[in-house]
Amino acid sequence: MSQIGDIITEVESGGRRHGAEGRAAMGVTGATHVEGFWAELRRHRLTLYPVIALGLLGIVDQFQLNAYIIQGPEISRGIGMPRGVVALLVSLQGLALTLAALPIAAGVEGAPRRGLVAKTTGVAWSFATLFTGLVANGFGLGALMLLDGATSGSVIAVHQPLLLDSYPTSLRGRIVSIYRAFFEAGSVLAPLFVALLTGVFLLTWRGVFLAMGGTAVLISLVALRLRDPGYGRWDEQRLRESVRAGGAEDSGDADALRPEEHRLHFFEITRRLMMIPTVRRVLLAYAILGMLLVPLNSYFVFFLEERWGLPPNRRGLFFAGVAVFSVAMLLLSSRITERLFRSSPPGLFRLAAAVLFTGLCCIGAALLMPAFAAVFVAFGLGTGCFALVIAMVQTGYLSIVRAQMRPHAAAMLGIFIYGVGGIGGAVVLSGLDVRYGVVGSVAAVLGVGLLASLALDSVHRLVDRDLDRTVAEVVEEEELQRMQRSRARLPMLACRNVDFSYGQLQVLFGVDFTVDDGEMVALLGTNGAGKSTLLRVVSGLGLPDKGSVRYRGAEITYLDAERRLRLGITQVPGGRAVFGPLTVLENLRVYAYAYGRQKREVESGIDSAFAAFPRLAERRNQPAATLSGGEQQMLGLAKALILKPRLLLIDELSLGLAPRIVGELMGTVRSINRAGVAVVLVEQSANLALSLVEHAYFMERGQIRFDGRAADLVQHTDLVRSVFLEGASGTTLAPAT
Amino acid sequence: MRRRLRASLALVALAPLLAGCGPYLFRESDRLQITAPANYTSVRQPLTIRWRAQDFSAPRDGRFAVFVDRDPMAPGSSIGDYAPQDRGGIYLVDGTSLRLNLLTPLTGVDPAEQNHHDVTVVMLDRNGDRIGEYAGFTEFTVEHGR
Repeated sequence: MSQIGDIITEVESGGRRHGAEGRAAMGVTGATHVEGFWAELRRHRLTLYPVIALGLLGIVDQFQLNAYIIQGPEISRGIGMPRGVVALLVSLQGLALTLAALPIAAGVEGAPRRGLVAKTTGVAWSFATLFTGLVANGFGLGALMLLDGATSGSVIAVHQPLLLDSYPTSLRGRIVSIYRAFFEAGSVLAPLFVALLTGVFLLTWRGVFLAMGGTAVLISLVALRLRDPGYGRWDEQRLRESVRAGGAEDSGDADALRPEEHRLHFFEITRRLMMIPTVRRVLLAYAILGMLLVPLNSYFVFFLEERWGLPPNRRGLFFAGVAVFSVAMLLLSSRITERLFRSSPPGLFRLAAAVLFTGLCCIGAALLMPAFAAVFVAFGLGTGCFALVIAMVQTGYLSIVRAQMRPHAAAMLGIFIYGVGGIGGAVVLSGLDVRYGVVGSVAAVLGVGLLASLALDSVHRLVDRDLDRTVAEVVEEEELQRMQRSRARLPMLACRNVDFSYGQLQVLFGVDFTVDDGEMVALLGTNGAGKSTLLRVVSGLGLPDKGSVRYRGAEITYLDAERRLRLGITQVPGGRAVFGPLTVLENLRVYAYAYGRQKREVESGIDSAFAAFPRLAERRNQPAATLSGGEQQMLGLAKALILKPRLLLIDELSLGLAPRIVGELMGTVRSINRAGVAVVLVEQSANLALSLVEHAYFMERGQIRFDGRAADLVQHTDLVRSVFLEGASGTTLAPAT
Repeated sequence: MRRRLRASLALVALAPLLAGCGPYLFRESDRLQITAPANYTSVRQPLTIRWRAQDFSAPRDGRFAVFVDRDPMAPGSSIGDYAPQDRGGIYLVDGTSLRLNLLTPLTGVDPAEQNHHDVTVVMLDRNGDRIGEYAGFTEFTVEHGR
């Protein structure tokens, strides 16, 4: 046990040892010096191609929506579609965009194919624009708008994560700023392009879509050379290399889980992300920010019309003009973003909050300016500040997330800003203009923006901890792999520093718990000590707030319970774990669902269960609820015989049973263990448990108070008195030898 | 192979562009244009909507349908598809002008928009089916008072 403990300690000390180095590998060097942009590109033999290709895709992505919105009336008259439907299709396009981002993230989670997805979707939305010029009716138009929206989801989910892996961390802030500048340029160029095609080339709305679609297809061809450099190419992979340096390069442990067996899947990733405090706080800030940014331009349009009497064409020019401020400010501030990201990520979020506040002040000032030129400048500076906020936050936010999770994290940003914030804002703020006038409604959204600024500012307290946690995860993962390669013997199960809460009520506090291969371990403690909760954390029914669960050399902390079952972890829950209305046979078939359609395996498992418990065979067609308590526990234990786990977690098997039945059940547990299955036996009855095991843990108030030989625990009368007294069995206390 | 793929994609992209240079469908034409009132102007009542059409003479080739404050029907659809009680705001005209004596303020819209009206003129063939996507359009504000 001590040898295993040493190995785990070594893994964890590796995490600490590589802490500063790890932060540097993730781009946070602590230095305020920023290397020259071109020099860095040359040093790494990189070109601007990825950022230009993705930036151009970001621009042409805006063609369809801009052409559609600007030409809505002509489309309505041309194909005889009611104006309400024209507006509805814009909403549907936005909905498709928001909803498609997460599925697209799911599509790239297994393999590095972000480059392929980016260019494929780019070509797809370009053709959607092109064919919009040929639609015959509203249904065709709707389908193309939905296609455009759905494929545009890749801009949210894929573009920035791909950029982060295409350039070294020393360029990260600047590259994100350049990309955002491209994106902002799209909001200038797309309406200007429409104006050019209609005003100069006198094209109809169909002609405009054809010309813009054709141009988009040609531009998207530029992106055909986009490649995915691999997840974490410039941060996680470098960190892994630094951990690996000097390590043994042996063939791996045959028993260790393969990467695909414990790699997180879609729901596990999104759930994991939502457990990161920085992610949660940024998403909250973005939801509030969405309430500001999504309706702001709409309200400002009315302000320009009512206060300054601007006709539609001049309003279009106004918004194209203010976007120039955003482009310029993004490019000019990129070095500041870079410096802050490298020296102090919390500082980056504080600056973002301050810039957001400044932007709000500028917009407020624009409402009060007596001269139109001043309104233009103030609004331009304000929207420019908002563009900076997005670039700064996304640089910091995506950097504290594991590389494979970045597409999901980016998609969630999109959902929160457009979906939660945009729709929520529309619901909460609708009717403001009627009640308080245009100025009142703009002032209201500015108030909402102030809340977003406060939420963003509060992120700075969380960032460092989450960045360190990400670094530690990568380092520990690599250390484990290194040890497997060097054929060090790792414990089968290692829970480290686990905290768990039911809502606000914390139940586990820094729990360390280790089980070796083939070992039988007793987990003892008084009622409410947290024993069953710890089993839930191991089996995946509960996810810890903090700490890690490693199994067969792999991190499984956030893996679904169902997948853990397939990896060999089975729990027999306490309190007669059977489905009462189902018959014995049906219960066994339910247990066997993990086998899927392997009928032979299922039948053989059921046969072995009946062989071990002949009484169950006699009652095979009887509802489980009509069995005695002992028989129900037998049925629960039969799960282990069917699923043939590597690690069996048994919760309170003896509870309320006669000693004779308990003895019978324990005999079965012993034989399961003898077959090589590691067993964790949770018991309130120490007499019983200590008679079976050599290794015991004792828990009290959510903490491990004893970890050692069962024989030694007997000496701790202060600890075990309570459980001895509560012993359910009359068996004498005789620790196993 | 890749070069071929790119060339094919480029051709596909360019083909409609070339098509866009020719037919009326893709380029603005003056086949049907509203001449009065001009777009985005203020008018007093009664007002007369005037338009001109090329290669189309009513009633020889068909009729004009004038849609006041409502969307026109889709190309190919028939004016007969509208139920009689649903024909409010639709006028069938054989000439090239329509006199409107009284446009009432719109209901259910922003008060500032109540006097904002729009008119769309389309061409119908002899069967009453809309011809192509040609449409004349104007929007204007009606001034009330002395």
